[in-house]
Amino acid sequence: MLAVAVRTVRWRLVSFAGAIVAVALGVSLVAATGLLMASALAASGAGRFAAVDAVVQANPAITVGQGDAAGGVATVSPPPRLPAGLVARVGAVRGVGRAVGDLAFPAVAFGPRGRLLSVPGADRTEGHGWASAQLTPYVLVAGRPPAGAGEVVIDARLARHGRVQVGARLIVVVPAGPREFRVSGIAVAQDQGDRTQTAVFFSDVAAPLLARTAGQVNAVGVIAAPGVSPDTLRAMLSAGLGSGVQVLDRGHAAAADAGDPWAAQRADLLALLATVGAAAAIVAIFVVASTFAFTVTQRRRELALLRTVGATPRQLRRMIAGEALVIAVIGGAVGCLASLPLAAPIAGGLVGHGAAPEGFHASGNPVPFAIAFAAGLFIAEVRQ
Amino acid sequence: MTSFNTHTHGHSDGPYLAGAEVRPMRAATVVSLAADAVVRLDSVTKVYGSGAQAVTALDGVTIGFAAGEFTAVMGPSGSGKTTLLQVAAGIDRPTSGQVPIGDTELGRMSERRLTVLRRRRVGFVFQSFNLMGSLTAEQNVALPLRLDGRRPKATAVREALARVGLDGRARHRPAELSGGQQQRVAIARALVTRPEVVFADEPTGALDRRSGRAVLDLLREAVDGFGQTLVMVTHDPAAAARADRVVFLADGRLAGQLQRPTVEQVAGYMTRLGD
Repeated sequence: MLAVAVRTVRWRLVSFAGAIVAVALGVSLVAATGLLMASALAASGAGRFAAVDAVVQANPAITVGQGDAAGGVATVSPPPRLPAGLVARVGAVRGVGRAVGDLAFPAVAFGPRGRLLSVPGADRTEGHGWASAQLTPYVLVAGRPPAGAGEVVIDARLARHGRVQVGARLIVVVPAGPREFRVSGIAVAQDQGDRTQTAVFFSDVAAPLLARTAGQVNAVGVIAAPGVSPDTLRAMLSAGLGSGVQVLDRGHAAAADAGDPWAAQRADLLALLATVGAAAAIVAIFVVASTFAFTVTQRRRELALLRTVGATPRQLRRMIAGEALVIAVIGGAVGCLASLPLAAPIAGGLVGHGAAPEGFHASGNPVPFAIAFAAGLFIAEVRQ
Repeated sequence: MTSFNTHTHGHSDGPYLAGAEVRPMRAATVVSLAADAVVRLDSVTKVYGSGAQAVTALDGVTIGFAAGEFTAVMGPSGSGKTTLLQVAAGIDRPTSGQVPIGDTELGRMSERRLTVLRRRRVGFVFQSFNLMGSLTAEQNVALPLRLDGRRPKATAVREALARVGLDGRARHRPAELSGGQQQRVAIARALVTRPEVVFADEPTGALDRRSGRAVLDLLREAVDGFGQTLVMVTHDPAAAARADRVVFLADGRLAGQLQRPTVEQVAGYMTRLGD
């Protein structure tokens, strides 16, 4: 009966066009939102923490309520800071080679003639203590580390675009206010996974004061002792530190970067995309169901004819299911193809409205296609 | 077959020798050669609707159709001709009475079994051709075989088309064929399964006189050349006159029959029935 169904669809292409268009539109929207969700869900990567083996951050899941009413769990984003004393505790866990307390705070730098230092493609400059440089790692290409409260090492990208040299004087606006600094050195990121941020390093003593986070760190970057695998390290950290913290491996380390606002947006973006995708799927189900019911009604005569020629009711159901299959395959294929050009403006809109970070784009993940295609099949078949 | 009705007309020569005199019947029984009956109806009643709206389309009809016999069924509009055909063919089920097929009672069969039985043993020709517009002539002819799960042999399909003189039109769609040609495709489709009986419901009703005659020639040839059993409902006395036997229906009952009818006899009988 599938052959008959194929011929019928081919012959009645015009009357089935409505159903095909509906499936294609539904699938393209589901696939486009799926692609964007896959991007949003994709492992955040190492980002600025490319050199760590693990990173420890505060557990973002907190229990809401008190006493008998306790039990509700909420996720706070970004996670709260950690006490600076934890760095030593992490360092004491077996398998840890080095533990580095990381701070990230906004730092807006102005060059010699009051010009804002910025780099195309990077939307922010983050301040850190010099110790954080080894987590990326940033390596000095000129000068020396910041010594004392009045010196900074700046990102080589900032230096190049702002034509800043060692010895130059900069105004940097930090949470503690605008301050003047002398550039003691220029550092280049050896493995910069996050091109959207640039860095200014202060001395480790000055950084918490400038950030107004004395006694606290945003996260603890961990480098394993020689011979300790990342998995073993993670297990040991989890066991040694308890449930108050969360241990992330390098592949997810960027999520612990307090200088990465994306971490906070992700949940909202996922919810938004899921809502759009589900709404598209539901609308498509109703539209396809009604167009299909319409074509079946139109063809009552033809179906009666097939009955008299010897088609059993089951064969007819199979034939109509076969037609739906053909429509779903065509509509699904068109929809999947259309989803790529469709995802781009959606991503652009999300970025434009600040719902997604700069550079957010659809991933090439094939899973959303499979899901959307299956959804198309389901949409086409479910109306029976 | 002992339950089958016996001859009640006082001649033992069989219907073919019975002459063409009009023979009104007292009992509602029309009998063919009982032993040869391919299809028979025993006291079949068919009522549509229920309560005050109930319409009795067939009222205790007993009739048999013999192998290799061409029977025309006539009667005024609403006399139950099409219902008789549909019940005999297993498209519709009788309200009461029996339509035994082999050793099975048709009324008790599941829809699926009935369909399978129908497509193997019965062929249909309709007034409105009923071809699938999306399929070519040969695909339409092959359809009953394919529905039966058989791979249609190209030669068998071509042969069936050749028999109706359309071997040159195998790849044409119905829309590219004339009405007469479409009906011939439908006949080829009805014959391709080599059914025990072919039912034709007003097969010439939608055709001009010439095409209608060509269709009747084909049907007649199927009976004479291949021993096809054929039951045809018609309004047209000229068409009925091509049959071996004409059975008349009025108000859901059998109202008489003619053997070896002529057009004039049929027309005369129909006039008396008040068509």
